[in-house]
Amino acid sequence: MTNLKSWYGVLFLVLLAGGIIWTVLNGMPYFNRLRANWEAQRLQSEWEKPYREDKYGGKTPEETYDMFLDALRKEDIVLASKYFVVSKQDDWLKTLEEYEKNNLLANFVEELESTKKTWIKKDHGDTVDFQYKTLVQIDTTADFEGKKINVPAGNYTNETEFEINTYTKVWKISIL
Amino acid sequence: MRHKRIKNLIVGGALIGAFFITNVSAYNQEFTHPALTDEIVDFYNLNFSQKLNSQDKKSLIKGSIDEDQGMRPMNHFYDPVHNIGMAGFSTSKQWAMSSATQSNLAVSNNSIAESAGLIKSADDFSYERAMNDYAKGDRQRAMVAFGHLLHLLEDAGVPDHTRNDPHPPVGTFGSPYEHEMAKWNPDDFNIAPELRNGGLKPVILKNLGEYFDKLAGYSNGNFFSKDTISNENYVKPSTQFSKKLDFNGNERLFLVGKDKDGQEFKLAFIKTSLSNNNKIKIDALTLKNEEIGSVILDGYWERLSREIVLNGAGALNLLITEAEKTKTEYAKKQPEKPNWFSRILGLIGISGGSEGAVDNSDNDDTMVTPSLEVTNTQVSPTPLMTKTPVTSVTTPTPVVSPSPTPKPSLSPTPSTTPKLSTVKTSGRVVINEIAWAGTSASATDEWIELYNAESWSVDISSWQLVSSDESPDIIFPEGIIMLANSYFMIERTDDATVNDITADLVTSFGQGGLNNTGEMVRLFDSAGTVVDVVGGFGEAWYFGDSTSKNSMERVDASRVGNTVSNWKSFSGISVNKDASGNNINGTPKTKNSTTMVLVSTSSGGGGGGASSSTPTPSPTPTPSPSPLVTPTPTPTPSVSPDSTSSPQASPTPTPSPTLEPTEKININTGSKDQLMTLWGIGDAKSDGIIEHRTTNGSFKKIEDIMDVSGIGQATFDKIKEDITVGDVVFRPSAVTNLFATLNSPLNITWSAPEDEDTLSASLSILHKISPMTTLGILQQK
Repeated sequence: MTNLKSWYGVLFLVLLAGGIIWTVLNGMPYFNRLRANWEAQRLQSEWEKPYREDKYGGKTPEETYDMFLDALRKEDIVLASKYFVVSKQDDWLKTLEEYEKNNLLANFVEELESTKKTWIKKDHGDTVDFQYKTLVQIDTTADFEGKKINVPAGNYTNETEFEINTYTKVWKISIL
Repeated sequence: MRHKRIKNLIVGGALIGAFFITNVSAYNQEFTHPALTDEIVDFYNLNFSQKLNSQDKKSLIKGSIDEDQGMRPMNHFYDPVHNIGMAGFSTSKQWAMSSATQSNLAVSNNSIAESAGLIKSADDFSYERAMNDYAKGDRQRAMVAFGHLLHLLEDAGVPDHTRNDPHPPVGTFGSPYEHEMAKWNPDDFNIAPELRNGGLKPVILKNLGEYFDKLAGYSNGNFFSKDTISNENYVKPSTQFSKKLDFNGNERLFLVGKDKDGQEFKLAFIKTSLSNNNKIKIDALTLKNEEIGSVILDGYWERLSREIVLNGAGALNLLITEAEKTKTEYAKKQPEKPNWFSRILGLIGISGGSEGAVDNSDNDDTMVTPSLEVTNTQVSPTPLMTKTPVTSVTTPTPVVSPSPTPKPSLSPTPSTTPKLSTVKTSGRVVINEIAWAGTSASATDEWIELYNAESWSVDISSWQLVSSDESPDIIFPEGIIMLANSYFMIERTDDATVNDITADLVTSFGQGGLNNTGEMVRLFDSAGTVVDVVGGFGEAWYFGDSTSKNSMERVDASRVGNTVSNWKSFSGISVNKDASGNNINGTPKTKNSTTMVLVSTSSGGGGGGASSSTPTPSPTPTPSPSPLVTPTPTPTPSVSPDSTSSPQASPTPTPSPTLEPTEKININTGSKDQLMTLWGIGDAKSDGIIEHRTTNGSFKKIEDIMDVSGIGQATFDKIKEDITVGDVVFRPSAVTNLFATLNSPLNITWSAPEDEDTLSASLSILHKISPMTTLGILQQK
């Protein structure tokens, strides 16, 4: 009887060792998947966080545009930059800082108000364009990031674009 | 310490995992990749005699779909200008080659046995593994792997993937090109017959690496991605040409490019407006808006997809040809016995083959499926860099040179029979000096100097030095070994270029040699891996002069070669003579002329460099752009007090290893030895400085050195007069760049592991992790 009991013990140990070996050899993919999915969800959530917290904007594109102009008039460029889509806020803050430094904010507001007078709204659902014309009377050049670009004379069609933040349902400026 | 490492691993895994679900794949996995692969196979079959059957095609398409699984897409980026992948991951070119990298895929489905290399990984679809599988008769798995490789080539035809511009679809991110091109699928994309009828042929190149370079160079240099329009990191495509075009009855302004056929196409839409004083402003350059739709992106696709099919069919032919060769080689080999561990694994049903990866039940080829007995037999496939017969290279050995004026003393300095035990086939060998303008005797007397920066000898047999127009394209002959810290002199055409120095290699530089307008020159090792890059596509030479024939000298061998700040013009006293007895304005086979660092006062040191790297916001309607201040690279030395009698103010280019007393040590570039010459900086602290700049980027001001552990105010006060940060170009690290792009709230930075051995050991218990992941990403909270 004692011998039989000891054989049970050996059998148990063999099965235990087998189980451990099997887990070591085959269990890693399972644990890796679990870990990857958990981490993925967590990081995805962190990436989405600025969009979920982005509450700056109006219920219509026009409202957002007016809020943006108001902020500029008050020279609150930090607030003004927040009316842009999340990915462009930093860039616009730098641009507005330049304007402020060069006392150009008031001019900029005038330009934007002038554009608004002639634009035509085009509704595409989650995005809205406001189309306007830019009349260039003679061939000229313009700067873009330090490079000259030729602009032939013409009456150009352009759009100021807005898109809705699908998380918070406020309208954001995507291309000004 | 250990906690930190584990944290690195977890956050690294998080990044990987996030991409797992956010999907950074380029073309759509379900439609676009199959569409392209389908056409590649069709075009291949239209052009080559060894036809692929429908099962082959199925396997190829399956591979092209599967390549986007899990975290594999993290390795699908290849910026050929800077030779980088995305966020520190391997480039797609490296990924395609490396069986080891694919086998050790982090967060893969590998079991421990697979990860440990005891049995072959089911995740390995590399070139190397494909060749092995094909050789052993597993044709269909090889075809699946070829499909994976085609996927990588297809991604090299996506500008976002070659301009370091990842766009995971979160919020307003996401690549408009990738999104739009998902509309193509195998049923509606049929260009193979059209290409054939147009008389076009598959592109034939020497090796797979060249296909990556060609496609990536094409997509990088001719097209924009969403966030790299007019990106300062890339010279091309040019934003020089604009055109007014009628579009749906409206006049619109576009940037235009020219394709290979000379046809214009729309590069970007230019949004304009008028400023307050009625002056035209450019507000933005975009690839798409609701009004113009996908017209720009369709133009991109039309050109890129064609190039992908032409190159893909050529690459497929290369793969099959190489695989056939490997199979023949394998057939001649005696299979080895499996090791005891494989036998045991075989007993419990785990074989070393490609379990589960391919169903071979319907394998209709006539090959014998390899049995377990040959599982561990490694067949070495033909290297990725195909060796072509080197007919134009003169080996610097006592062999009589075909050169018209052979010198009897062709004793190559670098190969003075070093001890074999110290010779490695890899190491930091750099392009150290380029006399692209030739010499006063002849503009065609060009020469290039390499430098072995390692403390061991490096065997550079079968390495390749190639310029962007393939003139020169030099493959080093067998038996060339560079001793530690030695120079290697390559002279064009004959050994009289530098008349008083014996060249280590005399060779043709091809048609036209080095182009005076500039070239990118790259050095590859024998495995086809890029070792060094100088210049960029379409960029001018950083320095040198075609009038004075000054050479272009590298400043620091430990820094990358494709940055202007690491080069200077020759500024020493000429010692050597050219073929006509004129001075050589360079330092062939000796240390480059001394770099003097002009140091400003203590207010932050090298702020000058920031001017060239000031981040320009993408919408820049600034009516008053501030002038760019280009930092002078300061090759001009100051006149030393005792040099009044000499008309030359240049310091003597004495190859002295010691630093000149007037020279400050640049803590951003200084070597460990140089750093250790500073007061109070020993072995550990110099390592700390190097680790800090590697981890966090360049020191912006000298005071930042106190961020290094163990260096406090007292040490700083002692050394502050002796150090500088130089002309710092503040470029974000790849990861910082990625997260800046993503505008992520995460505050992350690289964290290099302090003790690789310990880390590797700990990781290997859990899982074998690639070296990149081992580096890890530290989340600082």
